[in-house]
Amino acid sequence: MSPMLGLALAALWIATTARGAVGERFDERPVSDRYERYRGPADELYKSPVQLLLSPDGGRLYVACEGTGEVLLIDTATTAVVGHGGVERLPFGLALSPDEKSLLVGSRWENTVSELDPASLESRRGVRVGDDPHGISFDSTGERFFVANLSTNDISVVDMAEFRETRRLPAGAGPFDIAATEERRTLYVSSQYSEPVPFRTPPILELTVVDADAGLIWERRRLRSTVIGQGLAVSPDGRFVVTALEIPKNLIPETQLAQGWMVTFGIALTETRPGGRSAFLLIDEPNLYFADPYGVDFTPDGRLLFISSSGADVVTVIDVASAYERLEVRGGEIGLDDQEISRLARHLGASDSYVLARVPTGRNPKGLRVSPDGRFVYVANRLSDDITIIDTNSLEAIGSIDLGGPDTTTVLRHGAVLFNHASISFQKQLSCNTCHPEEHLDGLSYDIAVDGGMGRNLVDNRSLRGISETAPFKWTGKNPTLERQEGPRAAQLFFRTHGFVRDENTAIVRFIESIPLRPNRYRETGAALTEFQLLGKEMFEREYDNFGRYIPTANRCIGCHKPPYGTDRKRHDIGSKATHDRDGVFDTPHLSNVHQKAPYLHDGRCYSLEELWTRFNPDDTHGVTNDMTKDQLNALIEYIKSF
Amino acid sequence: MSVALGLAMAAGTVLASAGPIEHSIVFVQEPRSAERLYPGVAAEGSRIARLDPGGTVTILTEGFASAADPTVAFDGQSILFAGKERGDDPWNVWEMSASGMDLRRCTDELGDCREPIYLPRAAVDSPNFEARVRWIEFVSTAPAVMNDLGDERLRSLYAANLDPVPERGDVLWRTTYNLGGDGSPSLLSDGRVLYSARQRGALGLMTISWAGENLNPFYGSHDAFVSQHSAAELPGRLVAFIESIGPRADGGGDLAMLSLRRPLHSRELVARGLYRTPHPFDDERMLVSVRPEEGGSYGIGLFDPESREVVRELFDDPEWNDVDAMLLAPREPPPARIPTVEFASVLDVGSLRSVGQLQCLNVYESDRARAPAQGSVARVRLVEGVPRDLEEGVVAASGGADPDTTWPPPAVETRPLGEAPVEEDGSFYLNVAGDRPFYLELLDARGKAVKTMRAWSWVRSGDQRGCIGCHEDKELAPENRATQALIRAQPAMPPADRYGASVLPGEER
Repeated sequence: MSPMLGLALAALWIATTARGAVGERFDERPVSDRYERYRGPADELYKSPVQLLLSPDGGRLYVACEGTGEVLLIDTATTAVVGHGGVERLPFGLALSPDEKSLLVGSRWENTVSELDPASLESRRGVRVGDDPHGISFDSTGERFFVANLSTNDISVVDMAEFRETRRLPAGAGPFDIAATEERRTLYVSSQYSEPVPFRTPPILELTVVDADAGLIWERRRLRSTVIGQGLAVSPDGRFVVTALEIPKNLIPETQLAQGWMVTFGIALTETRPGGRSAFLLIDEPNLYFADPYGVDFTPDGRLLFISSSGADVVTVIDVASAYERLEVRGGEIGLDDQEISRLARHLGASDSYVLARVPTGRNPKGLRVSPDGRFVYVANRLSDDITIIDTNSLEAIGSIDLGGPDTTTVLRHGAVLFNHASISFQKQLSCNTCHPEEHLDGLSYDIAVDGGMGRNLVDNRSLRGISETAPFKWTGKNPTLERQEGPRAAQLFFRTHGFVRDENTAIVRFIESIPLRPNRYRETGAALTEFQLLGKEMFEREYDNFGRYIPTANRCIGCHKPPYGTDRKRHDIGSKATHDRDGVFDTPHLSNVHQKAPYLHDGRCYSLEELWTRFNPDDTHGVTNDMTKDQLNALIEYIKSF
Repeated sequence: MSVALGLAMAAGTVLASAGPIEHSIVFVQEPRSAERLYPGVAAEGSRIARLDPGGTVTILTEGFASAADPTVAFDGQSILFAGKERGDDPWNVWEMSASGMDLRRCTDELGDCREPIYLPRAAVDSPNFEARVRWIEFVSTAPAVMNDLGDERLRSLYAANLDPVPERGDVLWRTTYNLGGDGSPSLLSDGRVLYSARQRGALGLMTISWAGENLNPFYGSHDAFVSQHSAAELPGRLVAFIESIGPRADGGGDLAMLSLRRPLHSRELVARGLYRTPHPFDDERMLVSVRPEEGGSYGIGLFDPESREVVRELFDDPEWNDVDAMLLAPREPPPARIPTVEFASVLDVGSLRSVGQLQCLNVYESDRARAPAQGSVARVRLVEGVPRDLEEGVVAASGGADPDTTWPPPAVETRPLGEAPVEEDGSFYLNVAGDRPFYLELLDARGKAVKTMRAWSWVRSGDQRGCIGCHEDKELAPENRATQALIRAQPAMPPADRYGASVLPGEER
């Protein structure tokens, strides 16, 4: 053994035993991704534009670039980038004050909204909002603005003068985008995730209606059998709000993809009148799918609707009059009855009657905006670092704006492209992103028929954030590596092609292994545990229950959820086997950011962390918890959330 | 079409040309008066030729008594075809280089093997599926039985490896089990095999995966005596095919097209007449063979879908029918696919390798005017079609029954495979003996048939198949609903392998 190697091993031994000596404390959050290992020089330089905002005169185009953390300013007359600034990590939402003196940009990583000078893009001030802020909108006066906080399921109301959050409004699950009526007195907020629904029933998205003047929730609409609501737009006549979304098929066995068997994509058209109804139109065709709809916008005359499909590199153009005709819209009301609406939501051939054109874009088109004069559509192509310009007359791409990203494609960038494009699947029906939006999860359970027979072995979808050190994979723990998981297994179970092979498989695996965990609001980086969390930690590690009975190691929380990732990477039977399960032994999930991973248990039957022990642990088989007081259980959960 | 060229000559002889072309074209010269084994398939005594840009025509299959059905490899370097060296040989699938050299026989002892196509390279070496090899799909009479009308030998689609499969050698799968007979396979750009299935006398277009999974109608109702065959995908997501009243003996008919955007609702008759074998060209036009109504031979031309006419005549030898012309050029292979049937071992039915699974979401979902009334169905019965051997089939067919209205067809015997309960919500879920033709009967509580399926279906052993309804609108995606049958999570199990099954030489079941 060389002296250097000997020293290194000694240091490793000291570090390991020191950790054990303090009662297996794991105060420091472990490294959970391999970005630093895999990244190339160019990876820091990709712009990755994701959202756009046009000034009212259409002369300035603001671009939020989540790669470099910049906001870019483009002169639309010259299509030149004329400014950049506002550097934050993962910028997303953009909003311009009615007087055009303030530009707001949210940071999904920092959980803040910053005010920028709209001309110089210099930062003036910032405010902490909820977690993972997405859409932003001002009210009619410009005196306050609203922020959709995806991870805290709420909407921040911020006073503009004091730049201080004054209220949190409870929203749907994963509020994503905000669209305002023309006078900005009513706001609509889309939801990315379903509200809790009974096990094995279709997901339901909330479309939250906010009275902007009062700063209150006005109405909660329910978009049944839908999920992943993202971009929003209000029709110029104010009568409909359109949500880009997914119409999933997670409850039926994944025996095939043909005939929209796995997932379909479309929009919801929701009447804006109080108590208004919703109808759904697919943008897919019988033999081709337009995965992952994201941005939506109308032309000012309301004649055309544009929808970006980020998994298909296409913008779909809808003839609104034809769509209304299909829905038998009269006087702003949908004429179809509920049964007809339900049938239309499944009709893959219907798009032939209202889709006017499919316009190719750059890679991974996200946010899009129609110019105020209605002549152009600007589309942010996240993975090609450019903006596509579409002529609304010819319905063709007439140019693009290069945002100045690197010319080279790194392995991680290649992996990101593969992850986000549906060409890997039969008839381009789904991408990795379809079930893992923003590299996370869709909150659904699936019937993966091949894995145990139809109607059996249902599995809850799992996040891809911070999983590089948590092998094996799958709930059964059968896949020892991500190479196996993302290669032949994903090909067979989901894509129904040959899947990712060789260099592609390497790229996709490295990309996934590089996905970081997001900051944990239950424990800021470097912060000590709270008193309550420390109590929970005692519960997590305790050796005796409240009655003084010894708890075997295997039945303590820490017995399986070992540091540093909260998993021993082994399979255990915690008594969660259901009648539809073939086996009762499952992989121990890691606990990092576990509060963002509802629903719970291997099949997703559990809505909340609390329910894990109040409903689904009657015999103390998932740790000894039934003796705990309410405070102790709450403390335990609060501690678990701090991972 | 006017005669543009002189008489066909021996291999290597330069013939006249109708003008310069940019690519070599491979085509079939079929004797005009020869009898055909099957409608739409080139006749005995045919040969394969290559027309080069300079106008040279080279016979590529000298030494064969018959050669037909060419298809060009994705790299443009080799040609797959059906041929027989001697007149009394069965047809076999062969491969040769684009120059007609390097001959290699690909099938043996599988009856008459016709109409081969190349498939994209695919791997079947579980669990890593890394060893991608070349595969072909072809039509074969290997089952050695009559079709269900008793008027011809049953033809079925098969898939086989061209290169050795690591650790398995040769793999042969029968991929269609329709008792009416199947033919004219082609490959769609999404990887599906598009083919013509004969059911109740007429040919309709169907699709399957290359391993015989995901059987689905593509176009054609089977309710009228109109046949569709010889389909080929063109640029622009269009599919061209030949349509005729009944299957014409020479395979000629009107030229029709449809869009992949809505195959069931976009069919257009683009040219009436006697057309055969459309194939894509290198632009929006297609290669077709056409002959005058009043007589003459089939010649090769370029058809423009826009103007709906032959805009350029390429080749016509009046002594022969010149058909099945296709570009000798590279093309992009469709995406490959790992066959689901390779995962048979993970089904929850133990070691029953000969079983597939079938579930239906709602038997009451139907586009038929007389769909079963809600609540009227209590059980579903699977009825297997047992084909007769070659002599029996001919006898049975002599009854003169109307093939469009008689079900089951006259030259086939039937036997029940089993029954399974239909839940209140219309769902059922069962195991079914794999690789067997069957149809379904919906039964009421007294066991009387409420609805009878009048087409043959099957589930490959090891496959899982889902149906939305019973003859539902095929443009409808499924409703996202956990059915009662799925929640029960236990498939009803008709006897899995009650009657045994024959296995062909080299065939894996």
